[in-house]
Amino acid sequence: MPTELIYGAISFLLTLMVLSYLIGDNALFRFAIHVFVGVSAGYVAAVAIYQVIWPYLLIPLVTASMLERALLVVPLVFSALILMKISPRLSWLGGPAVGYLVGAGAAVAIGGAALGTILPQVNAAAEPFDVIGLIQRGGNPWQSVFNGVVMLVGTISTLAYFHFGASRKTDGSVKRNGLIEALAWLGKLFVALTLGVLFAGVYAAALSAFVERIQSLLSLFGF
Amino acid sequence: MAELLCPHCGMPNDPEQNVCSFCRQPLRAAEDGESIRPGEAPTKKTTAELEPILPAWLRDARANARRAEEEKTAEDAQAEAEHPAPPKEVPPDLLAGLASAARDDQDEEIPEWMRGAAPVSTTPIQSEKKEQTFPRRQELHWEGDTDELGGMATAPVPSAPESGDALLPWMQSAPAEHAEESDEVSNWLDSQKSASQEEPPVSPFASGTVKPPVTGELTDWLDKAQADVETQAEAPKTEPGDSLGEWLSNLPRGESLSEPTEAGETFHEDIDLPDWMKPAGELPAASEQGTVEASLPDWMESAAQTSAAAAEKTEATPAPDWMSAFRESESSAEAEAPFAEPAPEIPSAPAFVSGQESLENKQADELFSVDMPDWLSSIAPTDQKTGEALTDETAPDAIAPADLPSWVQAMRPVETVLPEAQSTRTLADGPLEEKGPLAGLRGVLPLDGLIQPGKPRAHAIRLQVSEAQQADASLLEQMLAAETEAEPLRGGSALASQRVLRWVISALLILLVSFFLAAKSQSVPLPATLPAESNLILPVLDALPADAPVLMIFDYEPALAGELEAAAAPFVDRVLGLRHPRVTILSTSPTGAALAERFFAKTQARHNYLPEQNYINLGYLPGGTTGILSFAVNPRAAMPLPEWAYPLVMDVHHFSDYAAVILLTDQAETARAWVEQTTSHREGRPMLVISSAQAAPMIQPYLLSGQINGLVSGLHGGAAFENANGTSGLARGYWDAYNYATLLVALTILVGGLWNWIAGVRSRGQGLGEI
Repeated sequence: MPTELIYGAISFLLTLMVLSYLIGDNALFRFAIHVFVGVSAGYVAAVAIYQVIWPYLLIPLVTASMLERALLVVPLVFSALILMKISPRLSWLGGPAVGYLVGAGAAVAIGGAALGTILPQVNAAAEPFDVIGLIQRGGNPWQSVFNGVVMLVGTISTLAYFHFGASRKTDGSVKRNGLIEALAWLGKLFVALTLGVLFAGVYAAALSAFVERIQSLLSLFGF
Repeated sequence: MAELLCPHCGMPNDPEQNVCSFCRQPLRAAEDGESIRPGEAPTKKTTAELEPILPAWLRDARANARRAEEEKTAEDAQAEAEHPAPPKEVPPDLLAGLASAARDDQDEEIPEWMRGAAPVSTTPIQSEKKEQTFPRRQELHWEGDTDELGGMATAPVPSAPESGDALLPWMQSAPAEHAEESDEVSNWLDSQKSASQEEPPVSPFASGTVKPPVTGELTDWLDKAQADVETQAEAPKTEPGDSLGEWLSNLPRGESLSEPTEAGETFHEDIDLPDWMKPAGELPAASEQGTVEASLPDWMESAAQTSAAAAEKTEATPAPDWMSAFRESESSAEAEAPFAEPAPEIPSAPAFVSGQESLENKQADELFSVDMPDWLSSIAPTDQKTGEALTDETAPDAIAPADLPSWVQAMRPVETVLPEAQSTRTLADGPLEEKGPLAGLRGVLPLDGLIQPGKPRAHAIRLQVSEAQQADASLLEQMLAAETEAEPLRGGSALASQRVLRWVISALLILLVSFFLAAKSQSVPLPATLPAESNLILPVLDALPADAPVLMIFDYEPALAGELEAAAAPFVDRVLGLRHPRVTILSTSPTGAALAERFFAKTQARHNYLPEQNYINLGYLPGGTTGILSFAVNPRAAMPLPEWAYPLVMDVHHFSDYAAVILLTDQAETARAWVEQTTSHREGRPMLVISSAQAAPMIQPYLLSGQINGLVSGLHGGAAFENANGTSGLARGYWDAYNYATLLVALTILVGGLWNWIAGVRSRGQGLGEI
C-alpha cells in the first residue's frame, strides 16, 4: 500500500507538472519532460541490456555451440563497428554495419509493403465491384458497389488533387484539364474528410488519455 | 714643442694659434651655439673681448694704430668738426701695423697672387670666432677683415683668382692696350714703392714693410692702382681709357680719397684700390663727370647714381656718408664703448646703399641692389655698422665692438643670389615676402590668381525646385516611409484573449471530466451494438479453440495506455473468459512488456492470469520490421529465450502455431508492419487489432482487405464490447466523462467557428466601410 501511495503521488505530481503547460512553458513542465526522457532512456537501456544483449549475445557466446558462436561473431563485430560511430575518425568503420541494417530493413519493408499492402489493397479495392461474388456470398452488391465507387472516386479524386500537370492555353494562361480540375476539387473534399477523421481520432485518443489521467488523480483521493 | 695640426688642411700650427696660418680655418671646433644660420638675426659681438686671441702681428698693428691715433688726437678733433680729410700720414688703425705683421707672417704661406696685396691678404685680422662662425670666409682670398678694412677688401670675389688669374670677369672687358700693364703686377708694386718714397708712408705698401709681389698674378686693378698712386699727386684726374678700363680710369679716386671724412683714414689716398673695392662713397666724385658714368659697369652705374644723390647731401666731402660714418665711428669708437645696433637689413638692396639712401631713391636703390654682386652688397653694411659701432666704442685700448659682418647677413638667400631679371621682375610685380626662406623676394608666389582677397562670395544652398517637384518628392517620401514602417500587430489583444480562452476551455474540460468521473456518472448509455469492424471479431472468437496459444502484441506507448487499456480490456476479458488461451506476450516497443504486465494486473485480475502459468512475457522484440519478420519466420530463433521451454509455448515452433494474433497498438505503422510481415506466415490464422482511435482510420483498409479479422478502436469500441459483454469496466467509468467532454469540445468548436465567422463578417463590413 505505501508503494502504491508513493506511485500515486509521483504520478499525481508529474501529471500536474505536465498539465501546467496550460499556463505556458515553465520549469515544472520541463522538469517533468526531463524526468520522462531520462527515465525512458534508462529504461530502454536496461531493456536493451537485459532483454537483448545479455540473452541474445553474451549468453549464447558462452553456452551455445561452436557454430552458433561463430555465427554470433558477425553481430558482435557489427555491434563493435557501430560503436565506432562515436568517434568521428573511426565512424567510417561503422558504415558496413549501418549499411547492412539499412539494406536489410529496406528490403524487408519493401517486400512487406509490396506483398502485404499494395497487392492486397489493390485486390481489396476491386473486390467491391465483384457483384457475382457478392451475390454468391449473399451480400448486397449495390451497397458493395457503392462503397467501391466511393472508395474509387475518393482514391482517384485524391490522386487528381495532387496532380499538378497543366497545359498552356491560347490566351497564355496555364490551366489543368477540366476533368482533372473537377476530380481535384472532389479529391480536396476527400482529403479534408480524411484529415477530419484523423483529427477526430487523435482527439478521441487524447481525450481518452485525459480522462484516464483525471481518473488516476481522482483515484488518489479515493474517487 | 708640440704642433697643432689643422683639421682642415693638416698643416702644423702653433698651439697658441686659434686660426690656421695656412688655410685660415679655425683650429678648434666652434660651438654650435655660435653659428648663425640663414634666416637668423645677427647678434652683437664685442670684438674687444677677442683681442687677446689675436695674433701677435695683429695686436702690434692695433697698438701702432692706437699710438698713431693718439698723436693725431688734436688734429682729428678739429678735422671732425670741419669734416676734414684724414691725415695722410695716419693709416687706418688696423692697417697701421701691417708692416710688422707682414714681417711676422712672412713665413706663412700666402697665395702668390695675394702676396702683392700683403696689407690686405696677409692680415688675419679676423677673430677666431668670426672665422669659426662664418666658414664662408674660406672663399675669401682677400684676407683683410671687413671691419678693419672698412669693408673694402672683404668682399668674396666670385671670380677671385686661385691660380694667378688676375683678371676679374667684369674686368676682362678692359681695353686690350692695358692688358700688358695689367699683367705686370711688379710694376704696380714698384710704383707703389716709389710713391711711398715720395710721400710719407700711409699704408703698408708705402711703408715698405710689405714685400712687393714678385709674380705677375695680381690683377689689373692693382696695376692701375699703382699707376694712380704715382700720378695722383700730379694729376688728380685721369684720362679715360686707363689700364683698368675706362670707367675705372676716369674715376676721380684721388680727389675722393684725398678728402676722407675722418681723420686717420688716409689709406684711400695711399692705396688706389680698384673701384669695386672702393666703397660707394667714392662714386660721388664720379657723378661730377658724366663720362665716367658711361664707363661704369651696369651694376655700378646705379651705385654711382645713388652715391651721387647721397653726395648732394654731403657736398663738403666727396666720400659717401657711410664712409664718413665709418670714419667717425672708427675714430670715436675707441672712446665710446656702447655697441650700436645693426641697421635693419633690407634685402632688396645692398645694405650699405640702403643705409645711405632716402626713401625717395627707392627705385634707384632697387636697381642698384639688383646690379650689385653679392660680395659687394655685403661690404657697405659692415662698414656702416662698424662705423656706428666704433662711434659708440669708448675704450681706447680695446678692440672696437663690432657687429657681425654684413656679408654674413648677406648669406641669407635674398635677392643677392637671384638672377637679375627675376629680381627686377619680382620687385615690380608681386608682394614682398617677409618671412621664411623666401624673405626678401617679391612676387614669388602668384597669389593673384589663386587667392581672392576678402571673404568668398556666399552662394545660396537652397535647392531650386518647383512646387510640383516638391509635391512629387513629398509623395515619394511618404511612400517610402509607408513601406519601411512596420505594421502594427493586431493580434496583441487577440493573443491574450486566446490564452484566456485556452485557460477557460481547459478549466471547463478539467472540471467537466473531474465532475463526471468523481460523480461516477453513467448517464450516457454505452453503444448498443458493436461497430461493424468489431462485429467481425465475434466469429473469430467463436472459432478460437480453447486453451490455444494466442500471441498478444503490446505495441503502444504509455501515453495512450489509458485508452488502449479501456479499449482492449473488454475484448481480452471476453477472450480470456471464453477460451482461456495460453497467452504469449510480445512487444516491439521497449515499454511494451511492462505495459502488458500492467494491463493484465489492472484489467484482468479477475481472471487470475499469472505469469508463466497462464501467460509468458517474451519481452522486447528488437529489430523493428526485421524483427517482426524474423519472429514470423522463426519465433524461437528470433527470440532464443528459455521461456520457450515453458509448457505454455512448448507447442509453438512456428508463427502459424498461434491460434490467433491479437495486436494492441496506437500506431497505424505498427499495425501495418505486423500485417505485412506476418500475413504470409500466419497461414490464415486470424489477426485481431485493438487500436487507438487515432490509428483506426489507417488500419481500416486492412480490415476491409481481410488482412486483419477484426478491429476494436478506441474507447468507443471498448465501451461497445463492454456493453456486449454486459460488464462494467474502465470504458464505462470513462464513458460519461468522455462523451460530455466530447460534447463540450464539439460545442466549443462550433461556437468558436461561429465566432470566427461573425468576426470575419464584421471585419469585412468594417473594411468595406473604411473603403
